[in-house]
Amino acid sequence: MNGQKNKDPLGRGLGLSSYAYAMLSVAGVLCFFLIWQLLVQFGIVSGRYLAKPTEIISLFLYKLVNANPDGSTIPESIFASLQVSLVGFFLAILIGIPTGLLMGWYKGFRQFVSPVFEILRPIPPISWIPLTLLWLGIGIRAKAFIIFFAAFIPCVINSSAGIRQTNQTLIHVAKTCGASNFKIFIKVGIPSSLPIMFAGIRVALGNAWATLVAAEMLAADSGLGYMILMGRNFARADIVILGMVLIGVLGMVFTSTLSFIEHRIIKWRI
Amino acid sequence: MKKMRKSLLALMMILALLGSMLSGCGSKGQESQTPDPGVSSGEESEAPPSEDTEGTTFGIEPLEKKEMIDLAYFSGAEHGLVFYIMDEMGWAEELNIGFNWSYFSAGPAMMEANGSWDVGTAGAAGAVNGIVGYDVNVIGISQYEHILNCFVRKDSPIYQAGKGNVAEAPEVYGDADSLRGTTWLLPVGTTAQQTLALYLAYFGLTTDDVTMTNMDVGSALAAFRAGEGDGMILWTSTNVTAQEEGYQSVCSCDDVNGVYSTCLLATDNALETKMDAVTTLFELYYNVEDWMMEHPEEMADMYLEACEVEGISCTESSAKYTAEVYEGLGIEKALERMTTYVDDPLGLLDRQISGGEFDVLDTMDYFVSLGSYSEEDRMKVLENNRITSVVAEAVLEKRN
Repeated sequence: MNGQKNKDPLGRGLGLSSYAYAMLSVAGVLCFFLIWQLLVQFGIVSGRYLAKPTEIISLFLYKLVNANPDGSTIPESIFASLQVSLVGFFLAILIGIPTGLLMGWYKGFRQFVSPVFEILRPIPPISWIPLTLLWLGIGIRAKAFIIFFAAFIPCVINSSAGIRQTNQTLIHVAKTCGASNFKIFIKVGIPSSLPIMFAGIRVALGNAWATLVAAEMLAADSGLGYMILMGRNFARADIVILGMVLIGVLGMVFTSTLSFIEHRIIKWRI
Repeated sequence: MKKMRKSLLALMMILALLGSMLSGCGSKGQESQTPDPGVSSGEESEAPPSEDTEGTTFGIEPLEKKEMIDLAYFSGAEHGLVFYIMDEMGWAEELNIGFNWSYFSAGPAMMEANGSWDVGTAGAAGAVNGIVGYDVNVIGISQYEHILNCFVRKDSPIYQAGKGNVAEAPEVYGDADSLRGTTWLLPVGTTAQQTLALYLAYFGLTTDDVTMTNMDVGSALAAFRAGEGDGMILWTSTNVTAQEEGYQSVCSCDDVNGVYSTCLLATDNALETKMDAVTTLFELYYNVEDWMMEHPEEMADMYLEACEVEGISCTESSAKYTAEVYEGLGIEKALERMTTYVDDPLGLLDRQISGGEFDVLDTMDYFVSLGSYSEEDRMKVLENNRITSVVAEAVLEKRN
């Protein structure tokens, strides 16, 4: 927000200041809500099926402290969902990224793991629900597993692809300096895979949030997905929309946080 | 060149084969359409009318022209079974009624899709969802549910506490201490929740004293088998399966004196554009109910067959039990229920309400008390006649 004009090296864009670009984003969001409000206000879309943004805001304020009709306030729902989605998401990072890095760096490991991974990869996360129920019950572990599966795949794919794209020149330089294969893996491979790896984490985060409703369909007594399901049970389109908006906004907050972390970690690359 | 042509021909044949295979795969989703062969969907077509009411099984006057009804069929439920039987037995066809079937396994999805069906059935909670949120009307009470129980394991403290602890419900097991803090698996927002609330109320408890985990009945049974939860609440065939597997019922919907009606539904559009067909179907529906109650063995066979067709788990004994306890209203009681009037139990309305309204409000008022629906919703439903006697009255008029 320094107000300085951004000069694109290729001459693209309007050449506005960063403040002006930020205002453009805000205007985009406001336009979206204004069009939505007007569509419902003038009856172009029935208010029974699509609540107005102003009504969603009122409902949000009401539900901050009131549990009706789904039985949980918004902070309770957010907390329940965060627990489930973050456990699944971080597990996916913890297991998926090392797996992907090893697959990308060590051909033997890749040959060993790839066939199983390729079979698991196309299986939709929600198809695990019946088995998860039997294996892990209905608690947080079961829901986190479904989210884990949704987030695990992009973590593996991107970290594997990222490390395989390591510049050969850098590898040769390291070898010339006498570094072992493992040292090159740690000092050269992993850092150079970070940009693609972060892209994978961003996809994983999106998947984790997108699978939340499905995971909470398995069994739940609170959470944003549960709130949507209850809104559906009671024909409350406004509750459904509020749940969706909250998932969207929280997802955006997490993506922004992740981008911030990414910029800090791989500053050298940008 | 010749070889290339042969390859091209082979490729085309493979593609054609694949295409025919794909088009042959019926959609097995929540909603699928199965048009009657030879009859264009949603349109009237010429068909030889039956000569008179004497020639039809139940003495109902057939429609002059064949009319297609878009049917919302609730899989695995007795209220939906009525449609299956009338179709299988050819009774709908003899009245010049054809069906385009849409299959549903949950009320909310059925109500959301109200634009694609004319007539259907659902439980009271699903029906309330439809009359509050969508252009759906209750035109009759289909049946009173009796297969809805709260189950526990035999080593559960609730079962161990024994029965007879509540004077007004001597068959109910448990006490306040054994119930407090327990976890129940059930479809929240349905009559299962209402049953649990009424059960707990016997011991001075509310649903806030227990944990309710939202699950559909099939998943609840699977999770319970895997050791989850202290209790579960089930209906229809899963209920009977649980009994057969040795789980102990500690409270039934009959024990809590709940009026658990299931409803015959029609959309605004159907009442406006297909009133004659809906009226005839109404008559047939309840006549088939009478037949089902008079022929429990045949009903059990048809129920088992319907479950097999729909891929719903059911055994011979559970089908037999379902038929034994089935309580449809039948034509006379159904007409009477919709056309006799009583006072509003909450006294909020300045008119009397029909028996049908009374039955549906029994469930709706419970959810209003929880804050799931508002009193305005209740008033809107009643003021807009969403539980309407218009079809029952049309049948009575036709008879006179």
